[in-house]
Amino acid sequence: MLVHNRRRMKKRLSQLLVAVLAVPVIATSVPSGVSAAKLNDTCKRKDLFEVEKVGTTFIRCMVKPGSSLHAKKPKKAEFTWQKITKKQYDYRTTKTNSAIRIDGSSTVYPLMAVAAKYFEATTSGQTDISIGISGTGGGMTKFCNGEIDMANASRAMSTTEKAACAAKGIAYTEVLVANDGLAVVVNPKNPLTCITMDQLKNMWKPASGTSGAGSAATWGDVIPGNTLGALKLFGAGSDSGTFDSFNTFVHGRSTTSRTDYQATENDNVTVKGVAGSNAGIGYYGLSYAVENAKTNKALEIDKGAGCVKPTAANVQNGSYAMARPLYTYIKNSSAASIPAIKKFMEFYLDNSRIIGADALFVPLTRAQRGTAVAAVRSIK
Amino acid sequence: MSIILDPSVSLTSTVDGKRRRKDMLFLALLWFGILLAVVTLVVLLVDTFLTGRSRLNWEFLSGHTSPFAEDAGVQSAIFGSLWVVLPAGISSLLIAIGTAAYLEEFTKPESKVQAFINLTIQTLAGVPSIVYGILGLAFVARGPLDWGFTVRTASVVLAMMILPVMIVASREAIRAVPSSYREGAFALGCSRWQCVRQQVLPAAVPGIATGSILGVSRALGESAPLIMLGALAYVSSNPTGFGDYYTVLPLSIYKYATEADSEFQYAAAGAIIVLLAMLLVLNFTAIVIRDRSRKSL
Repeated sequence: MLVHNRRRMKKRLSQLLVAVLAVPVIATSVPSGVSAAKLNDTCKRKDLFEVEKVGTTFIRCMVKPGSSLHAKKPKKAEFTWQKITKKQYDYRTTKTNSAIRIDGSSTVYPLMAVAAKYFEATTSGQTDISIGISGTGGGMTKFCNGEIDMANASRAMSTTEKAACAAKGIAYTEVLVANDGLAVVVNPKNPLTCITMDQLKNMWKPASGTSGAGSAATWGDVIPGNTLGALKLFGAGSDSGTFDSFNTFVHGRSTTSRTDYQATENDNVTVKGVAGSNAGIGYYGLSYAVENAKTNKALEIDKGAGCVKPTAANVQNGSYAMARPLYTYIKNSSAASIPAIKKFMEFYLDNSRIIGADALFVPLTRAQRGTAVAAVRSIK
Repeated sequence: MSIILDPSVSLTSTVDGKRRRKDMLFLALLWFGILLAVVTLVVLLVDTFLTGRSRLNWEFLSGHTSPFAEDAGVQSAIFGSLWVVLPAGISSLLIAIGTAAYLEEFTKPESKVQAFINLTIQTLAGVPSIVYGILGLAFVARGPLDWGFTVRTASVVLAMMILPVMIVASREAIRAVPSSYREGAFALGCSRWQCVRQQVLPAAVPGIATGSILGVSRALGESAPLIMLGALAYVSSNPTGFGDYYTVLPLSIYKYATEADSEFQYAAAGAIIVLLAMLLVLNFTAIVIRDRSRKSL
């Protein structure tokens, strides 16, 4: 009886295993097609992309000819080198059998990853570039410990970090790699189009959620006449460079912020939160605002000289209040022993406009680029 | 006639119906619990498969990490995971079997040594994984060992993390071996070590295999300590040794899932399927080992 039961159990178990294994098989064999909803959803910026179907399951957002800023190349293979730099031949023939270790800000990560992808394509994979995302602070610690060759940062190096590097005898060069703007976003149903710095300050100052004079618990407290009710605040977690930057823009100090908001390191949470609530307001990188323009409305910002739209041009010319520079720090001794580092940075700066656009950043201006090139060349 | 042949029918009609209703209600509750768990799991799995299946092709499996959704792949992550998890699993399994055999066969249950080791293991089993990451950062990656952010460091820390689970499972397996095996061996003149090696351990293999798979599965799905230990977001080559840099599948999934571009969701789902497939293969291997060793007994 017992043996019989056990056999039956075994049979049951094997049936269960087959069933579990069958799920992916069935799932793959169901005829698939691209739904109309997915088609509409994929290439959001109709002014920049045109939709192309590849086979039955893929959609590709092809960049429309003539649209330059924020244009994204969907595939490495479509990167046309001829148009980009005359120096490509030099890079391709450079024997750079070496590894470059980069770590730091997750904000700068996409920029460096795109640059690395393109660079590795030209050097036929002879250079191994690895990029970590331990955050600006974490990257700086590693950098000043001598553990990495380059550190990405969404803010300039702080005095304590400078001291740490000096203590370990690490000489470095600061290079400005791109501009990033922060966008303040609200739900599209919110009638607000422009917000002043003072209103933001009032909304995000510490302990402003409590009731009493000068409190900011509802939209009406901040914007007179706004009837959306209680504020639903979304923001960056305190480990992220975005948190530091936003507070510096608004309060002048990187750690000053109210704490009763939905804090996250993942900007997608803010996107979904603001999209899902009429009273939602949040902030994140400008590139996210472009990607999510349908569900999140980016506000104009008034720092005293009128409302300024969050556009690339306004970020570059400095009129938009919430723009920040992104840096990478190069360890001088690494650059001396690994020639590929200098090649990589020169390659990046030569193509910074395209790479910046592909990674959804605001590219360097001509003057910024000139300074950066000079800085890289000066590394001995 | 039928009433006489089928006693349950006659009983239900006579035994009070209230109790039977309660019985049914409880059974329904149990079924509801099971269904809730299974349906949630199935919905999640099916959703993931439906989302990710468009990416399940050779290009995806052989591609490396990428900032572009369409040529993002998992090759370096698969190899990174194997490089990190397999040595961790094997080394901690060996240590776990040794510890378990020592505790079960060579010490008395009431001895102070065993009480101390028991307490340590139970405490370690409850430590959150990120704490192992911090420990590894301070003592393995930096500090005394100074191994840097390499495969070696990650492997050692994961081995430490899954060791308590493995020890507990191995002990249970060894304890379940009937004492008649040992008594028989001793009666034939075996030493304690001969008895353990030739009788107890072979008989415990099925249980140890089941338990170790739990540990290895946990290591394979872990990302929190590895973020502390420098697992990378962008790598374009597979590790070729223990001194190399690496990324692992759970970290790739995390990275792809948090990208702004919604196309990356498909890549994330694809990576999840790959991770599940690896887990299934591992489990299946353990089941095969278990059945083989059962047959040979």
